[in-house]
Amino acid sequence: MSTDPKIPAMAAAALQLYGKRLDSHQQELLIKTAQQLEDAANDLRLWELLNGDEPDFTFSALDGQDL
Amino acid sequence: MTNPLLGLSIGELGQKLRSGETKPTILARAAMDALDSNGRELNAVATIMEERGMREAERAEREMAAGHYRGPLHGIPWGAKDLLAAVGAPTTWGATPFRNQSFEYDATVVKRLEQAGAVLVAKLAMIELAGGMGYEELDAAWTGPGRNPWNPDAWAGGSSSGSGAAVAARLLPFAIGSETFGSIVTPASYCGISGLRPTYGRVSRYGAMALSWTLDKLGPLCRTAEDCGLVLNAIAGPDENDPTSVQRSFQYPAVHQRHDGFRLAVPVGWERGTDPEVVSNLNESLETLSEFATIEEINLPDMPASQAARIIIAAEGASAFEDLIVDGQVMRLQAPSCRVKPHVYATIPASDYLRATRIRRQVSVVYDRITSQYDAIVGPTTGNVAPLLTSTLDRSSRPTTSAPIGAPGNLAGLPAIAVPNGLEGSGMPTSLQFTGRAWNEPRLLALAKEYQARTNHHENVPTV
Repeated sequence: MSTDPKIPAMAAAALQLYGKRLDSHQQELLIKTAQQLEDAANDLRLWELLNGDEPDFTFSALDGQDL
Repeated sequence: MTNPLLGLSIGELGQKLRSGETKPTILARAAMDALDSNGRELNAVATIMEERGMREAERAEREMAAGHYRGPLHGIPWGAKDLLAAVGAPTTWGATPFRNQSFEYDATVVKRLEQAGAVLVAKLAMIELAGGMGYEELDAAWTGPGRNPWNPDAWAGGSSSGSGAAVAARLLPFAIGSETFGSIVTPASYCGISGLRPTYGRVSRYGAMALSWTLDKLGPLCRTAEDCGLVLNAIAGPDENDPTSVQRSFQYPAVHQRHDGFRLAVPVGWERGTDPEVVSNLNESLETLSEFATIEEINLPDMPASQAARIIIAAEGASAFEDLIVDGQVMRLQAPSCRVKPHVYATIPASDYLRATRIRRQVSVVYDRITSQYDAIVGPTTGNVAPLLTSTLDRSSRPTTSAPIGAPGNLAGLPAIAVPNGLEGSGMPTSLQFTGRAWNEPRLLALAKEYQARTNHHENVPTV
């Protein structure tokens, strides 16, 4: 099942990792969920980003006082 | 029949406590009795905190008798969504695998409310893991389906189900809920009460279950906007235990807050996908608002905010609960959908997550610009009234957060307040939502308070 090209990559990975604990009905829901996430990710890929567009979080180096 | 005192607002109860007309122990006892009967019928209760509740009430009583008055919450009973750590009760996160979990410390919010003299009487039911595993079934909690006080066959909303139901049913004057994506404003809407989602970072999340580190917020569910302000005043502020909490001043009542000159915006097309009676009540609300505010129509930009939020919540949730997924305990969750979906969430590529966070920054910038021009964006809190418990949630369209501002508002960490704005034909409440610029809670509260001064929808009481 996990090699079926019609199955989204996320579903294939999830089935490979956890497929044994899921029955066929659950596996169908898993594939549907993966497809919905894939659709969302595809929508995001349509949004143009430039190289300099950074994620919305800020990393800061610790100065040791917090350790 | 619950004690009529529990139907009063925090301000009204405070007056009765100060005058000696009632006592903290009487209120705590009444609240715990009401929760034990009506609250359990509504599946709103996780644990009643008999020992801690009475201890805190007795302390408040002693202090008041000695003339020591801590403030407006002193002696007022309240309930915590069962994702807040509190000494004296299990903290189950609404989920069977955590039924026996307990913490030996208080969440910062719990501690601050204790310092304000409020009396913690119960942990309140919630959707398992705050809904982060993608529940479709409305009974996704070990406590059973969250029933709505306006119609027990309808849903109280999620994920702060018990918080919404208990306050609406007059079992408690206020409760604390959490919102990652709609979990305060949705139960506030469905249960006909006021709910405030603070700006991200306004309230410490230390001791609260983490679902999505960059989206989780804690806030009050109350009878009125005024009460929401009083509770936020007690819980807001920086906390060294939560690095995302921010040093921004908040004071309620605000000393110099204007109650006029409001500028509002209504998104073009807000009626789409909204039930006719919700539309009708919102139009009536806009008439009322126009008495004291200017209202403009605006076109909200078409940005993939809901898709970004979906990816971020799923990926962060899968990381927060990775152990649960890997060891298979996820299969013990209540909702069949929650036993399956996390397995996929755990495989979201890092590139998809990062793209979502990069787009999020742009959404934040754009919505900061928009909200800087108005005191609030106005719309329905939910496009429908509470669905029957036999319904399921359609995750492809997220119908419970149909307000167009819902996704960008949460993604950008903006504050919002939901207030009741009427009943529809079958007697279920509808709700109006004000969303504002980050850190602008004082103006939102002033606006909602002015609206409630001109209407009586917040005084409607469930008759069931």
